[in-house]
Amino acid sequence: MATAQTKVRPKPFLFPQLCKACGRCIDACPKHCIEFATEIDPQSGLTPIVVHEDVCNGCGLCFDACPEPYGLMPRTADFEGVDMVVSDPYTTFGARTHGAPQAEDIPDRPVPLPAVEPMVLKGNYAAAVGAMLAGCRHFFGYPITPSTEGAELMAKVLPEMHGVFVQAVSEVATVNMMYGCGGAGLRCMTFTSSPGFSLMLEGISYMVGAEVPGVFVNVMRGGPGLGNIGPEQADISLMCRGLGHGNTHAIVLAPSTPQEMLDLTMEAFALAFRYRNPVVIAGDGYLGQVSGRVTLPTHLVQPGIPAWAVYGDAMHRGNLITSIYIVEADLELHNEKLNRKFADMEAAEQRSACLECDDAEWLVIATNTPGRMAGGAVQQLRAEGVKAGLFRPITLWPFPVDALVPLLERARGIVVVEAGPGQLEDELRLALSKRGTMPPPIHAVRRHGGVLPSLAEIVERVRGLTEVSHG
Amino acid sequence: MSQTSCSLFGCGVDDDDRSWSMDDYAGGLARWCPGCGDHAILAAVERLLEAEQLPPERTVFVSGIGCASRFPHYLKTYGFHGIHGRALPIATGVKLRRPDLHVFVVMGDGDCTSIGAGHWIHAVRYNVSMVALMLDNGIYGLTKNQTSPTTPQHYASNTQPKGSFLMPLNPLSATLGVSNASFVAQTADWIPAHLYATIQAAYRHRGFSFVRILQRCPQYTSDMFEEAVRNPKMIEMLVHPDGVETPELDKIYTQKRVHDPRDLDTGRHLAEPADKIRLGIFFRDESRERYEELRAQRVHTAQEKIARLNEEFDKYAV
Ligand SMILES: Cc1ncc(C[n+]2csc(CCOP(=O)(O)OP(=O)(O)O)c2C)c(N)n1
Ligand code: SF4
Ligand code: SF4
Ligand code: SF4
Ligand SMILES: [Mg+2]
Repeated sequence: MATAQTKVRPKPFLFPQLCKACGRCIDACPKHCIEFATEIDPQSGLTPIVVHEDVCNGCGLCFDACPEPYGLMPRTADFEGVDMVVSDPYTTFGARTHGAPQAEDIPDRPVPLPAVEPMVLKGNYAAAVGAMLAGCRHFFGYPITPSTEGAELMAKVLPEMHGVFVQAVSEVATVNMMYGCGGAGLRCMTFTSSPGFSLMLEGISYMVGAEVPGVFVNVMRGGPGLGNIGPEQADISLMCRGLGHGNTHAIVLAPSTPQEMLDLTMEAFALAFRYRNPVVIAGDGYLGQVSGRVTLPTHLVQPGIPAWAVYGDAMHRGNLITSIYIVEADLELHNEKLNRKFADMEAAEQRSACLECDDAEWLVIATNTPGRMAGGAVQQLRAEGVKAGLFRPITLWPFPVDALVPLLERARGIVVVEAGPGQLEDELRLALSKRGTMPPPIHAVRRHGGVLPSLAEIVERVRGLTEVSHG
Repeated sequence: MSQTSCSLFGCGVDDDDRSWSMDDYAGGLARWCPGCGDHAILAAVERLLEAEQLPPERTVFVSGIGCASRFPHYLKTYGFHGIHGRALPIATGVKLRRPDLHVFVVMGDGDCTSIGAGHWIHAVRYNVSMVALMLDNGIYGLTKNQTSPTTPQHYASNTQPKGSFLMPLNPLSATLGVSNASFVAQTADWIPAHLYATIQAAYRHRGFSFVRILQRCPQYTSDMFEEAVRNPKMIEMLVHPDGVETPELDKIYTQKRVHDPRDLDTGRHLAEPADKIRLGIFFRDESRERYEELRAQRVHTAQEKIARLNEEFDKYAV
């Protein structure tokens, strides 16, 4: 029998790492011999196709269907035994080069401030003044009660100071303007309140990812939803645990007086640039509106320019702001870097204030305006002979657990006072639990919906506890 | 009106012989400032509801957040006080599932043209049948005097104390520029007869009716429309048998221009800023495709639905 010399058509060949799993070849194959694998390829993170060669007749239609430049192709002898590894251009070609000069940090400069008489300022104005003294000349915001006075003061003053004030079309626009301005290495901020802060979270996550500083003053109001414009502390979980998607954290500073609104806003800029990260000032609706005596600092800040800034001059030409890391291993490294930064913040930036804590048997824990109520309650309790003390967290994240733990030895009970559903208590419990400290019994005074806990309520709660423990 | 979906949800039937009086619509005491234009708009809307005998339980008012958006609180129809800027998507959700309901949307200028601008453009394109009233006082009222996209250039507010930098956004031109716009009109709170006739025309239109209502805010922009209120010569009425006609006003509002609402090009031209404020219907076209109809589906039987699900699940069987 004469054997017809049929040309053997090459079967398909594929480096599974280079398959993007689009499935086009599956549709193209008339013999239905291509399907998705059941396992994820460890190099690509995708599920590549597999070809059942026993059924394949080598028609070649799948080669044409595959859009990948190095995807399905005819098998040749060259491929035998080759072990392909996907590598990103960085590994193959080294770091991106640019002929730009090496940028250097231009440091901030303190400028002495002439002594002035103390002033009486609303909390929101005090924060705006603090921002200006910290060298912030860029404000982006969208009006929302009870935070708007801060923006309105900036609107009046910044244009006179060669600054920029923009009323953005929404909070989404606001946070992205901040992303841009912060990325240029400039000091920028916003004032907002709870519903507006919710809208900013996506952008904040990008800022954390791209390591862009910016200061967000969130004058918390009653929620959820539109709620009302009264003071509440129900965004604490959002600010401490939920700053958008992904692995995010930001230092959360909680002032309780107009003076602290000023001081902490100034400090927020320093922290934002030290760590290249957003910083949140958590105020409350009452604190934003209430007036108080405010003393100005001795120095204001003339801001420098960080080396990483996309500043728009020759020296910074090589810089890039991005939160995108396509290769998984690179993103893991980036997250590990962020984690080290978060750990540094947790170690170095805890802040708190104490009132009568040294020998306190009953520790009241409260912050913002409820912290002031609690301070009054502690003084009244002391006058009655109750050994009460106030521990007031000034950073909500990181929670000031280092200063708290030594106080717990003597404490017979803790009373967490909140204008909210217990989110401060959650932060407290999480911090203690992470540290393996067993706290004394934790009690609560909580009001909701824009209602503040009253001094009398706090006194009564603590007094009740002392009576139970005596009886 | 879709009979099928109406009977599906067990709502009132069309041979409804109940009759409705003003008391069936008017809700609580409106808490707007004295002299606020919103009061007049509420009155016109109540009049319309009564005239058209809309069953309160089949009428929905959806709003965003702002002074204007307090509207649903003052009516005894269904109300939905939504999210700042998001009234239109909320109303779209209501209407798509319940095409038998009469849907009205009330927004402020900030609500609609600033934070809600994206939704506004797409609502026009979707052309879902509803009446969208934009109460335009050229300012943020509820948050107390900040610039809005429709604030006149150089007009001062708390956030632009030296005056607004930008030329205002023209909501009429913007709406007329969006693909698939089907009804665009302008009226003013201080001309009740025209206000009523315009809202009525908007209600009777099949499709998305966009009405910009010039609204006085005596609290923050008391001077914004002062001249136009005092001097009827500043107003030009667009009239046409197919548009809005208010013969009772002819003696006061003598400036008139005949404009056929089918003429989009001229409508666009007339919407451009001029030395006069033009009131009337700039454009109307009922032949534009309505999203709720493009998407409408026959009602499937339970058996058909199960069969369809089985077919889908079979694809994943191993
Ligand atoms: C996300 C969000 N940002 C800001 C606000 C605050 N806010 C309430 S109403 C409003 C604007 C009001 O202006 P407008 O829409 O023109 O309505 P008017 O009060 O003038 O009727 C703003 C900014 C909010 N409620 N939600
Ligand atoms: S060569 Fe032809 S038969 Fe073989 S897998 Fe590709 S499409 Fe299918
Ligand atoms: S066409 Fe190419 S990339 Fe797409 S699944 Fe097939 S082999 Fe993979
Ligand atoms: S502030 Fe202006 S828009 Fe709001 S209720 Fe008062 S007058 Fe009306
Ligand atoms: Mg308005």
